[in-house]
Amino acid sequence: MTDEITRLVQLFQKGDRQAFTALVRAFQKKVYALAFKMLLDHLDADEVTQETFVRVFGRIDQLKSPMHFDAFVYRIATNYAIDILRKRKGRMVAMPDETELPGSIQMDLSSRVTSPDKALENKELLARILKAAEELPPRQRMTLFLHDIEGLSKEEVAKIMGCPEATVRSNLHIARTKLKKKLGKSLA
Amino acid sequence: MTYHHTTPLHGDYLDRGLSTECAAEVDRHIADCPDCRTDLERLRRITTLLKQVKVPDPGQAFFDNQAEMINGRLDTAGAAGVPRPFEYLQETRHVLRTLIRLAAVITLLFGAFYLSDVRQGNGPRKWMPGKTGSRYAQTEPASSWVAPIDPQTGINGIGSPSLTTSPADSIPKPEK
Repeated sequence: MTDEITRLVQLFQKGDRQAFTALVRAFQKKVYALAFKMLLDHLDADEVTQETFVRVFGRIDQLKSPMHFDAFVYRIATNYAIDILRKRKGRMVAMPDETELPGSIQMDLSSRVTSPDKALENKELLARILKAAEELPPRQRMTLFLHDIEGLSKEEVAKIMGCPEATVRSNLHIARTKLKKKLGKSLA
Repeated sequence: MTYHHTTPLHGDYLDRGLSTECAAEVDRHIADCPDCRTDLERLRRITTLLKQVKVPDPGQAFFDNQAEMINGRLDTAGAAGVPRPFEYLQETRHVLRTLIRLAAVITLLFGAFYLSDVRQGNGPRKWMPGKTGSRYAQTEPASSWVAPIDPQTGINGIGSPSLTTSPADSIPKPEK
């Protein structure tokens, strides 16, 4: 974290509301991106971002070191995203077809795809993977998405999710194994 | 190395999280194991595709609006009074936990006090408010708790066959 952010956090801890607004501006895109990658839904990601900063405001006294503000924010966002995933289990998720990506999800195809057929195949397969991931328990899904979509290291995921690195490793292994089993021959 | 030894390492192998020696060993195994090769290829496909999920850019106007919404929510809730979910429950839980601990300690103390006398064979103590010097007074020894036995039926005062007589004794014998 930069010195500027640390200074803003210190000011915010002393009650400076403008410093808080500056911190929201500095982190909101990152929190939104993280939430989107965990939930794959624009509206849910927006809700997580807003709720995260409202909670950060109310719980700033729990932050011991201003240096760890980013992990503090991400952890609050992750916990709220897990709550949303748990609530989602009871309702249908807007994914009309197993072979179609939901409207708000985009795929970066520019670098890897060789042909339009291959692109379509990859898109369909990704939709299947995401559909299968919906059925994973929230913490396994979150670990998988933070590691594989967001590209965080296991250590970073452990820090955000507040668990040992071994748990991250185990959750990741279980989640990937379940996906492999679920997708079976379509991965061949 | 077998298939079962190698499978749990596939994730770390792809993430380059294995030591050089371990990765070399997995490499050697994969060369001879078609199952592991298939497994690894499937895993690689999943991780590669997941990495291609892109976050859409909702635009600067969205983020400006979002920041205003956050400030608006804080203003509505009051600067200091942002509610924390289940905070009141956590406080209640803390008080309840303390009360339960206290009750457990009191129960243990009374239990120990009561049992210590029973084990010594002194019988239970009874509350004697009139006595000076102590609040409890010894009434009668534990051996005197046994209800008196009717010599004719062999049944004690509370209606159970006496333990001092055999059940056969309590059955009236038919007259010859």
